[in-house]
Amino acid sequence: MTSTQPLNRFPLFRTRSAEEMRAALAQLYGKPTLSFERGVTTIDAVANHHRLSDIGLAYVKYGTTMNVAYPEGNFTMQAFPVRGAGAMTIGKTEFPLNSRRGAILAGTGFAARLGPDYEHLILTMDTRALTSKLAAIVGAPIDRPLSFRPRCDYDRLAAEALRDHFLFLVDKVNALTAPLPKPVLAEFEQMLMVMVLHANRHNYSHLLEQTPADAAPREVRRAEEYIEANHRQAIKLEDLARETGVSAFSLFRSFKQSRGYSPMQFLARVRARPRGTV
Amino acid sequence: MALLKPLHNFPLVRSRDIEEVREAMARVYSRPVLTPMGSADGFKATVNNCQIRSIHLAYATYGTDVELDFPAHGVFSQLFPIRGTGEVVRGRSSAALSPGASAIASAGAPHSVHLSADYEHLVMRVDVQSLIDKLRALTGAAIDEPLQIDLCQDFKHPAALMLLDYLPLLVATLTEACLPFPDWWVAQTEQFLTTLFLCGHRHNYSHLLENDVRDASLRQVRQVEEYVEANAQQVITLEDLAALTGVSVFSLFRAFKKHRDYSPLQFLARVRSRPGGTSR
Repeated sequence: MTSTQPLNRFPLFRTRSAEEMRAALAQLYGKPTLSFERGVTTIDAVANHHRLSDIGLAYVKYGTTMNVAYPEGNFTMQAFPVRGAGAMTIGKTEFPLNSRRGAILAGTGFAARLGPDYEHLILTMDTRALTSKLAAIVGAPIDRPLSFRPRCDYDRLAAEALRDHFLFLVDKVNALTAPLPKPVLAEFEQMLMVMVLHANRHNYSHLLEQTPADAAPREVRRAEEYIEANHRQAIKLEDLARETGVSAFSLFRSFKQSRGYSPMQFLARVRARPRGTV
Repeated sequence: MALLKPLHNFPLVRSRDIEEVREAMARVYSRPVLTPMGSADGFKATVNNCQIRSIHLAYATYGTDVELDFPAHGVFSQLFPIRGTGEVVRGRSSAALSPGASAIASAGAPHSVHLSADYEHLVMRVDVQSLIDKLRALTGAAIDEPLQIDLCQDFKHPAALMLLDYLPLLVATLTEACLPFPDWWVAQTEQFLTTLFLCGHRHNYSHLLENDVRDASLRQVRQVEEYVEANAQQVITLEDLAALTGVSVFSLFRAFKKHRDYSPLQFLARVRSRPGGTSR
């Protein structure tokens, strides 16, 4: 199994020394504070890292139970746990890290508690490049810094699409024996940044939803959110009318007009969706 | 419940009626002559079609052996077989269709496809004008001659392999989608696909895109590969290859080491051992 670690063609470190790991991680993301369980003297840490132009791809296995804390930084990073579990703390909020739950931070400091078999892939992005992508989409300068809601749920479709694309790139840069053409890599980087802005909630999400493709009436979007969240339960058209505060008939009509299908057809699609395979 | 087909959420036509299917294809592509070769009773077409601005992604299956003859039109089609077998014919050249490979149909010339009854494929159709616009943007060159793309891809090229693997991923993403993706998401996907398509195929402007890499050693590797492919049955010495590229035998070895996981002569051995000289 160890021979097939992601990004193994781009080794950063492979060490049993906590001190060595601390120094190597500091070069990558800023100086972390690491603390281990009492009695731990050696670890079994592996990290691989491949830097593209505006983004970086990394794989890290710490090989021991540990706590890690990072100060504020100037890069944006999204974590995709691939094995094991942990928890991340930002201020007073704690949330889980596992194969279905990750996190995204635009420079925020954080602390994390990681289990012994925890491994993750990290997508780092130059925050300035991400911000200029956002400005290009919105069509206006971005004055307040980009700030994300940190927890990311990979069961959600947009987040799953982001993860699938990210894993695809990780696999391709590692597997191909010849380098990909620069224009292809550059466009893939742009596409990943677009997906990051689409898949995560941030302080500019509301502006992105005002683009024409999302210009469905509020009740339609509310009903879609309700269906995505509750599709495992029985849902009646009346429930949707109650949730959105409009009549069943007018909800039906606005779905048809803005989406071309009915609310119940949307529910059927959500339920038919194949789930969670990577 | 029946297994859902790729892009089932973007249905174009489901019909046993040949005229209805031709009509539907004409709406998004061009009107083919559609001839069932097997039992006409078995004809049952399912065609799905998802538009990403200037690009169309489609899924099709016909339920019986069919031949489709398409007139010349301003769109390149790349076929990605999922099941069954077939053949695409363009003028005097033809390419076999089977899962794991892919083939391209030209924009400027008529072409036909023969498909087995169990055949299913994904198709990516790219508008010629948008390819030319992108070429111009990438290279800064004037694009005067019509774009001509090789019928088969060069699968030693990483972009060709990436395109082959990426399309199913994108189709799966679109197939799971319950909500339309926002326009800016779609626009970026179109840009990436157009770039990948141009880099993943050999065409009469490929050399301009390779210049962009600014890597002379990669050009030497390509030159050698082309020569070896064309002359595989002759005696080829390392000195011939060095003379061809104008560099020393040693730098040629180094260029192969850098860009490929084999040496020039190992490549020759691989080409010679290919069954029937197919392009893969």
